[in-house]
Amino acid sequence: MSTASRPLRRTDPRRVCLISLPKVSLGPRKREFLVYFSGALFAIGWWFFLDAAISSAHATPLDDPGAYDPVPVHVTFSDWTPGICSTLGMIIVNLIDKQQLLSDDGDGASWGEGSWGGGVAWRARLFLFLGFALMAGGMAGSVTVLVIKYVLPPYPGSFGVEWGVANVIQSITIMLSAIVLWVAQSAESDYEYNLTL
Amino acid sequence: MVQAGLKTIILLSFVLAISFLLVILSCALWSNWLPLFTALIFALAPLPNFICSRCVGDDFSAEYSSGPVDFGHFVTSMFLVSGVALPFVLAHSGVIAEMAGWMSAIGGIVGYATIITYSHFFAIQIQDY
Repeated sequence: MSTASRPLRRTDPRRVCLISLPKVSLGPRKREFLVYFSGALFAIGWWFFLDAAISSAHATPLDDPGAYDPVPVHVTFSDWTPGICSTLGMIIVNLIDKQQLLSDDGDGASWGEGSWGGGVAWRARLFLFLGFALMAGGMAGSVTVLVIKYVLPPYPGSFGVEWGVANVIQSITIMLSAIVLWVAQSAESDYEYNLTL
Repeated sequence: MVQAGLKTIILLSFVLAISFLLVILSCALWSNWLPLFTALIFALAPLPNFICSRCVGDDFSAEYSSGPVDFGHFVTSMFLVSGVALPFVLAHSGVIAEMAGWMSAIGGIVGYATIITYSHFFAIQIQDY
C-alpha cells in the first residue's frame, strides 16, 4: 500500500486529493497580467450596468398601448446601490495589508491577547470582514433588485429583466475582480505564506 | 528585439492613419460625434501606467511598494475595456448606429495597438534620458 501511494505523494506530502490542480505558470509577469485582468473584469462589470442605465434612459415606449404605456420601469438609484456597495467592498478588501492579517498567527497569541500586534491583526480581520460583507451584500442586493423590481411585477413581455440581470452580472464580476486582485497581490510571495480563507 | 527601420515607421503611420480614418468616419457619416469619446479614452489609456510608474520608489529602497504600479495597471486596463465597451453600449441603446460602433471600436483598438507597437520598437531611444 505504501509503496503504491508513494509516487502520488512525491510532489508534496501535504497533498490531500489524488489529482492536483495543474500549476498554471504565467511567467515572471504573472502579477502584472493578473492585475490587468482584474481591472478589465472591473470595467466589464461596470459597463454591463452602464449599458442597462443608458438603455433605460433611451428606452422607447412599448408597442401595445396598455396600462404600462409609456415605459413602465426605469433604472433608478436603487439599481446603483449594489454596484456601489460591491465597489466599496472591493476597495476595502484590497487596501488591507495582507501581512497584517497573519501577523500573529505564528506564536499562537491570537484573538485579543492584549498585545499591540494582536490588535492590528484583529482590526485587519475586521476590515476584511467588512469588505467581504459589503461585496456579498452588493450581490445579494442586486439579486433582490432583480427579483423585486423586475421579475415579480407583471410587466408585459418581461420588460426590464435584462437590466436586473446586468445588475447581477455587475456584482458578480466586481467580486471576481476583487478575487483576482487578491490572488495577484499574494502571488509574488508564494513562498512566504499561503492564504487560506 | 527586432530591428525596426524606415519601413516599419511608414507601415505604422499608415495603420495609424487608417485608425483615425475609421474613428472620424464613424462620427462623420452619421453626423453624430459621440464616438469620438472612444478615441479620447484610448488616448488617455497609457497615462495611468506612465504616471504611476514614476510614483514608485527605487527597486531596492526600503519604501518600495508595488501598489502604485499595480494601480496604474488596473486603471489602464479599465480604460482599455471602456474604450471598447463605450461604442457598443452606445450602439446598443440606439444613440449611435451599429456600424458606427464597430468602426469606432476597431479604429480605437488599431490606433492603440499601433502606438504600443511603436513604443515597443523605439523604446530604446526614449529610455536614454
